[in-house]
Amino acid sequence: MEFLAEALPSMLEATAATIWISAVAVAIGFALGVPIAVACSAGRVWANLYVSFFRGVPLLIQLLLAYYALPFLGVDLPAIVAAVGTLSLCCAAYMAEIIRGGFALVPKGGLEAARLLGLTPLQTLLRIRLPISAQAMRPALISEAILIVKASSLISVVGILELTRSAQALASSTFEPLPAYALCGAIYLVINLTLTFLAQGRGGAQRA
Amino acid sequence: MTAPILSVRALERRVGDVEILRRIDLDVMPGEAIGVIGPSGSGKSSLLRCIAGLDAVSGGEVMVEGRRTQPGDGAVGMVFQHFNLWPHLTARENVALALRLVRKMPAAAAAEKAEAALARVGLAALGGRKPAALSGGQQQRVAIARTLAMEPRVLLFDEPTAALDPELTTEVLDVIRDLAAAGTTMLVVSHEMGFIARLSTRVVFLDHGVVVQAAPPAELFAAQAEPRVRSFLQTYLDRVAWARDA
Repeated sequence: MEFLAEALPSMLEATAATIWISAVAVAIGFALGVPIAVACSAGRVWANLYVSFFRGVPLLIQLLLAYYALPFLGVDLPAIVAAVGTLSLCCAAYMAEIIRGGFALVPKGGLEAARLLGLTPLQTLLRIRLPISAQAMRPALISEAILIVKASSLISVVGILELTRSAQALASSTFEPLPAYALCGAIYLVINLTLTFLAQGRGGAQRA
Repeated sequence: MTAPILSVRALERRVGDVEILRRIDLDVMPGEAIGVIGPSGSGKSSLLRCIAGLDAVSGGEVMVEGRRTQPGDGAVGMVFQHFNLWPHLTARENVALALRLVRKMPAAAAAEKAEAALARVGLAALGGRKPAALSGGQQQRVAIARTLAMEPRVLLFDEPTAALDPELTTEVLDVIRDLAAAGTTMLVVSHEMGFIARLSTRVVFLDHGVVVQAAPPAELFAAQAEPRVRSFLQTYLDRVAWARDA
């Protein structure tokens, strides 16, 4: 109890940080993932290189590169921007693959009808392709969001105060690593179970 | 003599070494209903897709009212074998979407026009249903309404009943017949020979990408002057005869 009273204020603050960092990364990741998916489908080389790089290099290495390489190149970004940016770009690569898979399920005929009726490619993307594939993509997108929540723990290495970093600090200040990390793990679990629950709840409501 | 509403000039389509369409010439007058028949692989669907601009042409041109057409410019509307409705939208939304996004109509006016188009194909009561809750014949009629609402100059039907159970074809063919009677200019690819014979002002017989014969149905079906047309129709008549005898 004494431990919890000491731990909770900082851990809750850190939880909020983890949630907003993950939310921003997932939102940017999806927003970038759509055009990257379109470009991949159209056979654009840069898009395939992008996906290969961000899926092929460990996120930890990407974060360290962003942290150390950008200042070396004269780009002076706050650590939080570099970290969330890297997480978002990595998320976008995985989102793009999910979205590309979803697009493949949209029948070509529906797109031809849209083209003949005069819809622009952007209108067709937003009104036809994305909504038709959304149902099929949702489980994979939720999985990706859960992965991002967990992957956000890696940005602790560049000094961002989020859940994992906060647990490390707590472990060393209280000399009680076990409860500190157990609490940390439990909070991640609650966040991700909530995500799963929300996804299922919305799916059920839409099917009804 | 009025000018043709649609003219196809020396239209060619090649895919690799395969010649799909070979120098097709066709003039269609306003209000004409052209039936397009021929064996599978003869280029019927390709002809329609080239007129619509969905398939690239290798030569020649397609003009509607003297202008080269582009997909989406509103000159040509097309009804597909597999309906190609958007499954996430209701019948009404399927019809209204292009009115709103392309014609920039306010939502209320678009919905009203969509209802009118659905009423025209006999679906006034079903506008709130999604495609999955409609029969094949109803889905195809929604697809016709969706195309009609945009008021294309020429309407193309690509085997509109080929994906339907026999008892559902009638409701779709009736709608097409009504449109033809109202003066809609149309090209219809179909294997429903009886329907084509009664509907068409002229029938075009395609084989291996060439127009073998283009004539009024009485002439093409009755005289059967072309041997290729005769053997094609014979297969069809044999099938009907078999059904009658059985």
